[in-house]
Amino acid sequence: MKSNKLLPVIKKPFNERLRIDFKKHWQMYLIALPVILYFLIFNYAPMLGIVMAFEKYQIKKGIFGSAFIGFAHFKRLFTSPFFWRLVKNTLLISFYGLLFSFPLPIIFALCLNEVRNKAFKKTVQTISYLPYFISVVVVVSILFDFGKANGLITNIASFFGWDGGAVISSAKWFRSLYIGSNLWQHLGYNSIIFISALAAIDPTLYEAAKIDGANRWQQTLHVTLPGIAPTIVVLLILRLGQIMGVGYEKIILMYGPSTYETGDVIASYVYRVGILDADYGYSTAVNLFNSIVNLIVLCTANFISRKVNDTSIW
Amino acid sequence: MRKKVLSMLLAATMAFSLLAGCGKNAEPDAPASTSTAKTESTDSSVTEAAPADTPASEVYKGEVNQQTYPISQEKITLTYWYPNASSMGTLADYNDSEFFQWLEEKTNIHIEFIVPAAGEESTAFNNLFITGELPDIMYTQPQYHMYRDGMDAAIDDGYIADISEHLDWAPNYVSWLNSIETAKKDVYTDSGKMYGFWSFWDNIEGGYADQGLSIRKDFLDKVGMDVPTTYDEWETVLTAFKDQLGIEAPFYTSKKGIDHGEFMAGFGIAPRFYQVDGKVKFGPMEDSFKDYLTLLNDWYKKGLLDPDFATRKSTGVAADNDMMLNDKVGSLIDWGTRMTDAYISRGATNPDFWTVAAPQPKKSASDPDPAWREVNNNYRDIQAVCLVVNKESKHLEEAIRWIDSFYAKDVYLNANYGIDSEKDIVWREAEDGHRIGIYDFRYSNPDGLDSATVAAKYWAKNPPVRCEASQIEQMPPERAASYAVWSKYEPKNYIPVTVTMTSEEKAEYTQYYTDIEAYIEENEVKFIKGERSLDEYDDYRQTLKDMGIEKCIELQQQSLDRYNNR
Repeated sequence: MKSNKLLPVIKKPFNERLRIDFKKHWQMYLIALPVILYFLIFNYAPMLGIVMAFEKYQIKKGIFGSAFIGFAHFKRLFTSPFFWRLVKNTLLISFYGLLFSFPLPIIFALCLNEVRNKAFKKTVQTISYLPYFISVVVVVSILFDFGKANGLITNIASFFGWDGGAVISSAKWFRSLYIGSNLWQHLGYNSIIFISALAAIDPTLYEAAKIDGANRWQQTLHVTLPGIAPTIVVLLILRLGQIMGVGYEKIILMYGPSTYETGDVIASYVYRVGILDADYGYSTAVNLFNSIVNLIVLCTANFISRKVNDTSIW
Repeated sequence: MRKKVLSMLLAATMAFSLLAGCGKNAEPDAPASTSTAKTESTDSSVTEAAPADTPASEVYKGEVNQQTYPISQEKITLTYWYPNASSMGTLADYNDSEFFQWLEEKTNIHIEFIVPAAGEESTAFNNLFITGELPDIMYTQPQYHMYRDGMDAAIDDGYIADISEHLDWAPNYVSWLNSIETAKKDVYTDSGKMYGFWSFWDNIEGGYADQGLSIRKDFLDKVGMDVPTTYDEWETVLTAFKDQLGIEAPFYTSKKGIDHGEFMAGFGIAPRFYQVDGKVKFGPMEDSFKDYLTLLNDWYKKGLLDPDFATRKSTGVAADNDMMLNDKVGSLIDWGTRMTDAYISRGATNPDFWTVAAPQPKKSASDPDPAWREVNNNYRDIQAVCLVVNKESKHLEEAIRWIDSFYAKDVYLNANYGIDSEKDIVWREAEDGHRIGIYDFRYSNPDGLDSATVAAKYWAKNPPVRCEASQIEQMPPERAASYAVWSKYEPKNYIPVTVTMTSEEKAEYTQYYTDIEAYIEENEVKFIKGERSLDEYDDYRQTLKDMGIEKCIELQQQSLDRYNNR
């Protein structure tokens, strides 16, 4: 200890250290190997395909043989009449999704936490996360049935003065239905992580708060929330990283020409030009643009969070 | 320390992925250079290329089978990409079909059917090229299943066999090419190659159509009206359906809202591209298209269209089964084979269920009959179905000979009507000796099979030679009457499916047209539902111009001109 403080540490070269470390802990490296391989094969190797975004990709010539065309695909994307609408729709669906489906599971978890009757608590929890196990295809077909011209949701909406016919084919309703059904499906499941974070809070803190005369509300505010704050922040940063990443599966199940206006997002556009029209080069470019925006948002959010409250994902 | 390990790891990863990438893609790289050279040479010769000489043939339309059987001495298996999942009925495998079992015995070739999921056919077709594992034979409908860079490129890139080099293996096909005067223009590409085996009708001189407008006769009887012929009469009838019978969807189109051309033909327009005297036109850019949308918008407001049309799954000729069977549809565009009895065999509960064909409506009764503008142009000698062969197939000769068998009369009769040994069960013989399908066997099957399953089990689905009479003759006269109504219209303004763009043209075209099509579909629905005012139609057309529609029309015109000069 003492010598460490006085003498500058002479680090051995990296190879040397790796060799020593490997000898000592080779079992650990072995255990890590499958995961590393997984990322190499499925996450890093395919990145090479990004090259296609700068090529006039032809199947026969492959990734290495196709002609290089620079930023032509990006030019096409930025001048596309749909470009701003796609960005807007993606951001809005993400933003509204975040606005509702991020805080609600937390509030739900906090509420459950206050329930003292164990049996009731477990029942509510189970029921709330059951919808999570329903396939998205089924959820969407339920939406279609309820959203038809004489379906349940349309009827309820008409009762409140809606006169635009089937809600499921109305652009005005697309986001609400998309986010609402997401919320219904994922609320319970998303709250699990907060419930477990709540369970990890030291009970002595509550005792101390009680002795100090804090009521239930004050306990929630000053013990519970600070206790799960790191979890909330990390999850929020991760969610922000997906701000442009609205999944295409549910969108393409739900949208149609009548709801393109609000429902067509970057991912579904990539699906249409890439998979349906087989325009692989262009769709790679669109997706690459999407990923870059995502990365920027994620880094910014992380940076701000680190500055503000010392919690960050790296 | 941790950061350094991480960066090393990253570097290692990158190196690894580079290597992995190389290994995977090095192979297709090599032949690519040769194919580029080829493409260039064909591109330059596109305009002056004259069709190669087709060998002469003494035989008329495959009347004498010139193949020798069995085609293969030892039993071989060919893979056959056959995107007909929705036509299988309850059959699990097309090998359960009597016809294909018979053909296997005759040719000594076993077929392994690859049937992509219904609705995923186009995607599945593209994927065949990406994986590089092409089946030996592919059944394609070129407007849906097409190599991205076009027919010539598919051959030049080494995927698809150029049939013109192998015509000596296909004597029956050659006999058809010699028997149909106009065929050569279609079967050769712009650069004089043969993309595949195109399908023919056996005899279509009198004109033929097996799909068109159909309307519920039992509903008409209930409201005491005749089959409508003008748009005004249609409105009266549909209104009666709605008001008196409470029909939910008096007129059913598809999720796009507009019809497939039959209904709008009276306005002198087609849904998308068509030609008038060699000049390419685009429906939505025409003035009449606005009038047509105004009519649909009016009808939508009055509740005469399907209120849920925009949420229907199908974009083609396929009504929502549940709605059809439960009397919620008053009129629609339908296939002749499906009309009345097929729905009853599928479970329509109403004993009076009866649909009949309606003529294409006109603006006034004194107008001349509109032209038939069906876009997928199935109704001339050549159909929009083409069987293509994998150039790398190990059994290229056997695959070509197997397909060629379908063009011989003894085989195509069995494919259309049922095999020889099923005489008087599945088909019977008319006085002059030709075959007629047995109606009751198909529509009230003794084994309780529904009509779609009967078709899949005893015949081949859309064989390369289809008998036009096979559908009509077996029907009782009142059912068969529909075909005569539809066949009245001259199929003249379509753009043939065999018109092809070069890969450069195609690339430019899709760059504009992909977005245009999405924009049009979106706005047509809005116009019909009244979410966008038709007063803005000129703005809408201006937007289409800004998006490049004129360039698309020009590219279509170029390829049509090349076709006309073949």
